[in-house]
Amino acid sequence: MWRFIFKRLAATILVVVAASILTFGILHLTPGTTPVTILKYAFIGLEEIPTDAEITEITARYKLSDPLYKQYYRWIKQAVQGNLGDSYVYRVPVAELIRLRFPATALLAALSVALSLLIAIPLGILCAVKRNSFFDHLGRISALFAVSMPSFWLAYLLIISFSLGFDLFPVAGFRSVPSLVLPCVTLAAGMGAVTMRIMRSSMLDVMSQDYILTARAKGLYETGVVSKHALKNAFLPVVTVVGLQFGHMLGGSVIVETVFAWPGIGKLLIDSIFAKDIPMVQGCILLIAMTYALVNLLVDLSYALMDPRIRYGRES
Amino acid sequence: MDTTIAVDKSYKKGVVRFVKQDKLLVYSAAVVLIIILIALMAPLIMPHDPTAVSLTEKVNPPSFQYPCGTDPLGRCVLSRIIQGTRTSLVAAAIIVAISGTGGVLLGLISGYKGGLVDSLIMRLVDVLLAFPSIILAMALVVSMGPGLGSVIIALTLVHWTGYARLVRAEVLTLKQSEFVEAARAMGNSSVRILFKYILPNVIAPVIVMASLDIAQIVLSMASLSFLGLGAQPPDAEWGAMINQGREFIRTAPHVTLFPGLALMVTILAFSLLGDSLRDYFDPRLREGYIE
Repeated sequence: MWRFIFKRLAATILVVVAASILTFGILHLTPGTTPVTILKYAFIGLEEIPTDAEITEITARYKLSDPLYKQYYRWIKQAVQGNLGDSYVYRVPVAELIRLRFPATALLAALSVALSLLIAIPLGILCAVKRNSFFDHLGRISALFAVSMPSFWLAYLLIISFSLGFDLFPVAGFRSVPSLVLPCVTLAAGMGAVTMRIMRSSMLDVMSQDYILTARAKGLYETGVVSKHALKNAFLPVVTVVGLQFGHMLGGSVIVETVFAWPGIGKLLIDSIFAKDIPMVQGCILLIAMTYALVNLLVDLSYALMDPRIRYGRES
Repeated sequence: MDTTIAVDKSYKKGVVRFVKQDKLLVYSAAVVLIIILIALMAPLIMPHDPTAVSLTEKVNPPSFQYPCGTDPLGRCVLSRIIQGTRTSLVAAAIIVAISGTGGVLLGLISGYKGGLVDSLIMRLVDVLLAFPSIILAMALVVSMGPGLGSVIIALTLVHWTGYARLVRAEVLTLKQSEFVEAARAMGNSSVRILFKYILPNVIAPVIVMASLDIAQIVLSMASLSFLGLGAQPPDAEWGAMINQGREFIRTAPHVTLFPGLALMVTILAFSLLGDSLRDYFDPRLREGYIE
């Protein structure tokens, strides 16, 4: 088990390092990091023509004439120490801004995951147990629609009906508990639908196994069969999918935060993209990739813990 | 003479049974076909010019003249949705064609060759999968500058990984099978074995993936356009149209609602087609199939 944990941890670190190289590479092989662009967007205004002195000053300040690998090395060395450089636009450390914005995103993500699981898991189990009933069909059709609905469109549907129609929840911003409801529901809908479908099919799969037949044959009541024998094994694929969904949610939060003017990382990323604030964009993307990698690691580890049949690291 | 009639009848019966048994496949294929036809015939069926601005008819509600109303610049929303169908489908077709072909080729090579080539390709896949796909696409679009072209390139660079993984896994099992062994014993070259013997066996899952992928790509493209990174005005694209309707959501929700509906129907149709194709190709994968 320890060997497995160590191996997965090493792989995760490698992937994060590679991801940081990729992020840095993509963002630095572009016109976005030329001294003129930086000057125009962050310092002197878009219409101004930068003077030679200004260009020299900016190039020296951000050491832009260094070769790319040196710039990357400097950036990653600082990043490991928690310093992601200074924002071009806000002129404050990137890490500090991210720290300020992170709690809002984390809160939104945690609540959405919780909400989606709270709805999807019981619903998936019920649909599987009452297979082909009216309830099952209804559940599956709603899941299908929820999966196919673009989150930004669902967000506007919710705003139109609940904010403008009934005036129940605020349209945008993060001021009070009610303002959490619509963004959470938007994010949870797509994720919950996928989780529900997996829960249902996984449950159906398990219910057709021989040991369930044995449990029934020995006279165990149906609730006992479902709760004691089937559930535990049916959860395994669900854990994987929830992990994968978390990544989609990190992407989705960019959209949802934009629609609801939510002061989180996603909104910060989009604003920085349009302001050509490359250090900020870089920091946000690195954080997202790291969070994603960490969640995947946790999923893999919990998978190994939950299923003793999987003897990781000892297979060969 | 009798036999031809009998064959004809059983053929008809077969078709009827097929339609009855695979209702979902037939219906979703029909909707997909209609969407493709709309995209192909866009200029013929549009009631108005999708870029014709009319300052006197800004954000009109749906009427007989404008079935879906007009947008903030007085353009016909229905015509723009039809034009948007073309934009989305053409872009998605380009992305799936290139990333699918590339992914399948890399998967074939990776699975068949193994060794260093395999490791290199699969590590690249791992790194690309370390990002939520839309975030990676966003970074790529930022580096190339916003626009539909950038979105197409970015999504192509992101989407091949799925095909590569799928095909590699299939090749790894097929490589051990007897017919491949026999082909090798007969002295066929690697290239011939890959394309003549292995490729036909991986096509079905690739088609399923492509159909599901189109749904995903249409959504990603609309999302990027909605954020302002994709199609730029005055191009008609569903995500961009929803974005333009944002400020008028209170007074003119139709500007936002109709393009979203088109988007949802398209995504729904392609995902259902993918799902039912998968069931069709491999009945064992049917949900809750019991042997």
